[in-house]
Amino acid sequence: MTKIKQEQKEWSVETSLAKGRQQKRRREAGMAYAFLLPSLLGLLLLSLLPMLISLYISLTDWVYTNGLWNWNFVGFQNFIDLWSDSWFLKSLGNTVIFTVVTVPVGIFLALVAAALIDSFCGEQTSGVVRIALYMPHICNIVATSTIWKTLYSSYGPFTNLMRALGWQDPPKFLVSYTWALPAIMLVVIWARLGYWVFLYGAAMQALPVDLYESASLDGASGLQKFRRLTIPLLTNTTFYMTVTGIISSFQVFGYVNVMTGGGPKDSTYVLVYYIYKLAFDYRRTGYASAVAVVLFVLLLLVTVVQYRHNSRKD
Amino acid sequence: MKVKRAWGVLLAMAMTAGLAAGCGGTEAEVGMPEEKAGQGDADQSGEVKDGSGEVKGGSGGGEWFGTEDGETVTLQFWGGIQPEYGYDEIERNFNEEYKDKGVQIQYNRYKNDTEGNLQLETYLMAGEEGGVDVFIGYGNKSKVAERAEAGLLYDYSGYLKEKGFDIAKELGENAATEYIFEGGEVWGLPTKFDNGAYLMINTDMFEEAGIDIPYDGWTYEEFLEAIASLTEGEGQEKVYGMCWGFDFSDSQWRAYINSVLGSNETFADDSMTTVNWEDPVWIEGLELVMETFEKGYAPTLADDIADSMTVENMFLEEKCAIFGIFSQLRLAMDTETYPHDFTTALVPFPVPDESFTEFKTQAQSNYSGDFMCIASGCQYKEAACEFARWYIQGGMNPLIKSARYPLWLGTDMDVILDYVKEVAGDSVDVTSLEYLFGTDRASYTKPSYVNPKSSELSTILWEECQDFLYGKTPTAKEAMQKAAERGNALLAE
Amino acid sequence: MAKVRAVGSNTPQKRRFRLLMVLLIGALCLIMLSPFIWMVGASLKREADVMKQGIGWFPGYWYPENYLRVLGFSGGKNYHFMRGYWNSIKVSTLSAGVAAASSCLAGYAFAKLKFKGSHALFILYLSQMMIPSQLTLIPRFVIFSEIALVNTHWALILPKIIAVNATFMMRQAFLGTSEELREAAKIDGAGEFRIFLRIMVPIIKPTLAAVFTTQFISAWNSYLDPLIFINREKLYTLPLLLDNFVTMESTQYGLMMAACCLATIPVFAVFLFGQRFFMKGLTVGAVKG
Repeated sequence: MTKIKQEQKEWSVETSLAKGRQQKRRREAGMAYAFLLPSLLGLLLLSLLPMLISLYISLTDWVYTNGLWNWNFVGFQNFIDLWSDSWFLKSLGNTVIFTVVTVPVGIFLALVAAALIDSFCGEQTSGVVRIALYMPHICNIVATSTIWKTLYSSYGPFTNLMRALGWQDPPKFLVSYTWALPAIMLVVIWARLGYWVFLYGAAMQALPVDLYESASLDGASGLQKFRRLTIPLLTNTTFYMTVTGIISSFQVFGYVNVMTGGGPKDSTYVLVYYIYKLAFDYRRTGYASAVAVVLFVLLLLVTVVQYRHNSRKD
Repeated sequence: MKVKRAWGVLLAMAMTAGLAAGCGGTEAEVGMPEEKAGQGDADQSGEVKDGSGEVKGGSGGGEWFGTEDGETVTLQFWGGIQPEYGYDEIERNFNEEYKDKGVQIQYNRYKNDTEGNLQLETYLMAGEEGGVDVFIGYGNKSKVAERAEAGLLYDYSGYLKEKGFDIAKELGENAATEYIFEGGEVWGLPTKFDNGAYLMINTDMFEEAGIDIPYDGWTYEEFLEAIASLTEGEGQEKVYGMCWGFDFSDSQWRAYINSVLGSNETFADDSMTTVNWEDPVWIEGLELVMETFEKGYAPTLADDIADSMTVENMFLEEKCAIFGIFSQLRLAMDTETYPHDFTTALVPFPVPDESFTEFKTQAQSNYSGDFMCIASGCQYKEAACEFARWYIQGGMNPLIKSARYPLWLGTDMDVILDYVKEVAGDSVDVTSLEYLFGTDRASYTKPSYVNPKSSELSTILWEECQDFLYGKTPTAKEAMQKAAERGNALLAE
Repeated sequence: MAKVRAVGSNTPQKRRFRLLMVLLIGALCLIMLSPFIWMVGASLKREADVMKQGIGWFPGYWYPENYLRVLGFSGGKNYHFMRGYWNSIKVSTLSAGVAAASSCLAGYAFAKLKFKGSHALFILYLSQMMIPSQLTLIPRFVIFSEIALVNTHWALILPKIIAVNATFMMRQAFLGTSEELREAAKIDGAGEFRIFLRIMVPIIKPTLAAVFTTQFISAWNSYLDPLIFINREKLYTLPLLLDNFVTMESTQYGLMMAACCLATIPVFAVFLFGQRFFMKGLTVGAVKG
């Protein structure tokens, strides 16, 4: 360090500063690539290539059993066909509704639950509570879907609860044209809640205590502190949840596949479910890829917008 | 800079390690004699005669199916049933019989659902490295045709000819018409015999209600009358006359209804340009289902699915007298897991009225499945062909444990029935099986169609039927019209 | 440490409010735990009783048979459950380790180091999550078999080197760390890697634990990838073993739920461990001012 300083003194002040900055920048960039190397290698070899192939497949009439490289180029035909396909339009609509509801509601509930746990449970209890909330995430999806099917059955606990709450004639949720989709939304929010509470919990642990203490001294109420301090300080976590939440809501598949299989009729069709059906049941893998490209473009747009918004705030 | 290089080296090392492990894994697998034989130590009280004594090709002592330099080959055989329901025994029988002929098999179970079939197909696509030599494929002729078209299957018609295996004589005219493809290829032969247009009934309930068991078939009217008198009770205690089993399969009842249309498929004619869904038989069939709902003889579609009504929690719990899915017979045989003390019989699905007399036994819809296929990537074709032949001609008999009966006409049905009595005891009505096996399966031919759009068509049909059964479309006729419109539009594309 | 807690309030009104909130949290816990409770209950039932109409949480008898059968102590069939356990533990631990290490490095680069194309590259990373994995399955299979990964556990582990979700999480965590700390260390002459390892990583340890935990769980429950990339029974992970309990005709829920319960134990342990980690991390995390 001292050596560098000595050298610097010998140079003219201006050039040394500029050069130094440039050099520093270049060194930092080199460093960055070194840090990124393992995941970049993985990206290029194991992730990007399959993705590019899938994107290309959307321009073909490929059937997956034909093997790679064995396809007919059909141009944008698949993308033209999409817009007159009622199953696609239904899936797209359902997916958008699904995302618009599950992400904000999920984040809101997670924030409230995390704050409640943080405020009203001691250190020991909050650990236990967090484990309880995390359970749906740990359990096998077959177990969780089966239990929810039972909860939703004609005389299942959930349906009975609705009756007790004064709903005269509750529907059979999973076979109702109107209620099947909301029923699955609820399950997904429920399944995700523990994970998000866990993340918020971890973030809240790291919040600066002194800020809260000085706010308390200024006479701020709990709710005020929550709104003025906690929420803004959790932005990084919230941003992460929003982006990944949107991506995973757009790709909801497991619960739909196990609980309703898209039914009744097409009322719970969502994009990935339809893609899956197209690719493997109907053997229209090329067309399925076209649906996936639409999904991809939508997600990319939403993410870029969010990302820019978030970066600007920083 | 140092850090960067270090990472590079580290990653390269990791990759190399991965590669090494990969190669190691493959190598270790070659020619491993299987320790699996030791596993099947559960003693079989009733070994089934495997029928190999009646083999035509003659299994003279000099046969050798291994490699030229004298090594025994092990074929990887894939199927969808748990080994303990028959394949353990099949594997043991074959390996014993062929231990000096250079070929052994090893059974692998795959799950017969979308994911499992994807797994199977992926490994078929991988060719020689895929590790699938012979497999049992499920589904229908379309499935076989799709795989054949993708080049995943081996045509073993040549071998059969050489061995003098005449499909029409061995498996029936129907099988020959259906499964010899246009150019004479054989991509997969059906192995099991069953009839999709049969119902499972609780004979004790029938007796109690004083209803004769309709071994020889019945009409919609007789069927409705019967389930009316079999239905009793209210609320949670209600016993239904019928349960359609929609939660398990939404396609089974459609198989019942079109079984009398002279076709296993949905097309109006051989050109496959239009569907036959506006046929009165379809409409009446749909109305029949609706009537059972409306009169309370059967749980409605909504109840059926919302409350997950299955053979286990309805039929075997004596909450319904008839169950709409025949393929579940194995569960009725399993009195240990599902304790019950009534007898289950198989009876034909009813026909619309007396004018359908020739269809009454549903013989025309005798359905065969479980296709024996050989992978195009199999390295030991001759050994595979030999195993396929052995399997079809009696080798598969132990599958009776999972209520699968051989299609092979050379089968001694008395032996089979004796075995059923032995494993199933009183749980299965053997008389009804005699009727089932007695149906003419040599002469009736009914080709099915191969159409790439058939799964989509099936989705359309079910969607419109749901609209009717859930009360969104007022009449069955209208529902079928809508379905036909959509189906024809899809076919016109 | 409860930061949002109202300080020094002990009026009866507040106490009642507190009680109400605790009850609410208790109810929430119960709702969240219900599948687990049902799972344990079902695993102790006779097969015929599991899916009976009407919900029954626990059977009125003692029936450990399902567990004994899953573990191969009775029933005459060996499911090789312990081997599955070992495979799953191995694959999940290595997967989570690879993901945590690689994403920690990458997250740091994205959050703290300035380089050209940083934003675009990050979006490219994110975009890897946007194509449904079911569709890339066949291309991945072909590539993996080209580089001889198929039928080895590496086919499940190595791809985790690009764990986008984890990278994103780490990036967010590093963004929240103090820049002054890093600058100060720099002035003291510490190299970038040293700063990263000695100063930054300890600060975000809670997140690192979270990343490890979530990656472990997702590897643990992963079904489709192992199903396609592995077809040697010896290499099977637990979710593949569960297929043993699904026959052509029915699902044997009793056995399956017993297996699920057993499968949950290690995940539970990892979660507890991770949880303890992030508890400890909190004092360090508070350095940010």
